[in-house]
Amino acid sequence: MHIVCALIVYTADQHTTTPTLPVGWLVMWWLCARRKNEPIGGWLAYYYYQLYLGVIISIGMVAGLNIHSYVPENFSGQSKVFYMFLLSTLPGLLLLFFEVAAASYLLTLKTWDLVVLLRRVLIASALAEAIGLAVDAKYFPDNLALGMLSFVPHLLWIGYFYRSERVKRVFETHDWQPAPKAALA
Amino acid sequence: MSEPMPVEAENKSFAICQSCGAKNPAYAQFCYSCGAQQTQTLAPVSATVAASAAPIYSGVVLQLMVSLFLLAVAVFDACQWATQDASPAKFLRPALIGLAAVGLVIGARRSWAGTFGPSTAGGTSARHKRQIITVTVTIGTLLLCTAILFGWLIGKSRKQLRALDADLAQYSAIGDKISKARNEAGETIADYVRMYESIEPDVVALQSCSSRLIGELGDYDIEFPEYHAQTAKSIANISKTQRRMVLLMKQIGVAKKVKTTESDEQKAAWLADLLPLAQEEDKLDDSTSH
Repeated sequence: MHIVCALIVYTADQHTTTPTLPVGWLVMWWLCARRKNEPIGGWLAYYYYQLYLGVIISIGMVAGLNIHSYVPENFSGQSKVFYMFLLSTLPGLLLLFFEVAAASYLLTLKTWDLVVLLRRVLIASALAEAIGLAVDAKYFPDNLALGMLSFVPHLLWIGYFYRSERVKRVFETHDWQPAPKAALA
Repeated sequence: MSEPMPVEAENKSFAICQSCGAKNPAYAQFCYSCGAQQTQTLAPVSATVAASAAPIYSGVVLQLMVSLFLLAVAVFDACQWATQDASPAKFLRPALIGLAAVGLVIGARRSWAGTFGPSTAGGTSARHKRQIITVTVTIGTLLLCTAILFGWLIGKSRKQLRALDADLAQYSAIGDKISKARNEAGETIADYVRMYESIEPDVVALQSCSSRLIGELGDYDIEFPEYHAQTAKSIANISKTQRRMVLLMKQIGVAKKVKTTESDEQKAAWLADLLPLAQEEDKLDDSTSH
């Protein structure tokens, strides 16, 4: 199991939340598919896996490799570039905390009002990422591709939390039940 | 990854399958083990009833999240403050943010009292209360640890870069001052002796500044390996300055000695002792130009 986790971490996307490289994605898919009959299974489990792994990877990346980008003294004489960099990256990172917190409360309490809260946080994150993309397009074009890798999954997760039958049954009506083995056979 | 079709039912206790004896949730319409239909299945509840009966926690949860966030910002700022100059005047900002966080926590306590008041007492409420506390403590601890880590890393880096900037500015200013004094020295031995005496404190200061800079640039080189070529060049220039300062201190020593000798012997002493040092200093520039 540790090897699997290490593999996921190693191959996961290094930007913010969603592992995208094939091996990591396949392992995640396999883990989630195994749990598809559970209330927190399938794509919902995938959402939680990618969120928590994404946070660990984001913290590791910022602390280990990217911390100098957040030091204003490194931008001496280019304070505008520094503030644009912060505008591009910081809101998304800060909202990541709110997303993790809202998703964790939802996971334990399983009430519908927290789904509504999580949706709002996801929308706020997507807006922050959209602003970040606009800033990247003008000031940091090299970061644009990575920004898209974070922005597009956010849009997909917003759609998921609005449309998913599983989300509705697990968190609103609390009547999720897996299909029986005989019915699946 | 396709979603399986769910079957509506209430989910609470367990029931034994009459066909195979397996343990299933009470709401199960079919046995999880053999697939036989279950007769004791509880009636499904409608979405409207379930949703309307559900407790509302988003208000208190949002307040807790914002309080934790502000607390983390205060801790981050305080860590930066502590790793930099730690002057009392600059503690005002993290203190104010921390106070705002405490204010929000007090507000969250009121919401908490409203959410988990006597009217809501019950098994589910008590369980949810414990769950909210557990999640808040877990996320809060991780967030504060992250804030401490980032505050410390950024504060340390800022302190290093500020020290490096200050020392580079001082290095440049003292270097210019010494060069100017040497260029403007008169033509007599007495003029040179005066010049050497006047620059001695600056030479000592530049030696000390150069030593600090070598260390600081070494740290910079480790943290920013992408600028290694430029950093290595700067370290080489400063090392050359250090060698020049050693020679200058020797020249100052000779100038002091010449000052105490008889005036008719000064020129001979100057040529014998100071000229070789000056030539050695010139070689430093020659080695650079090659």
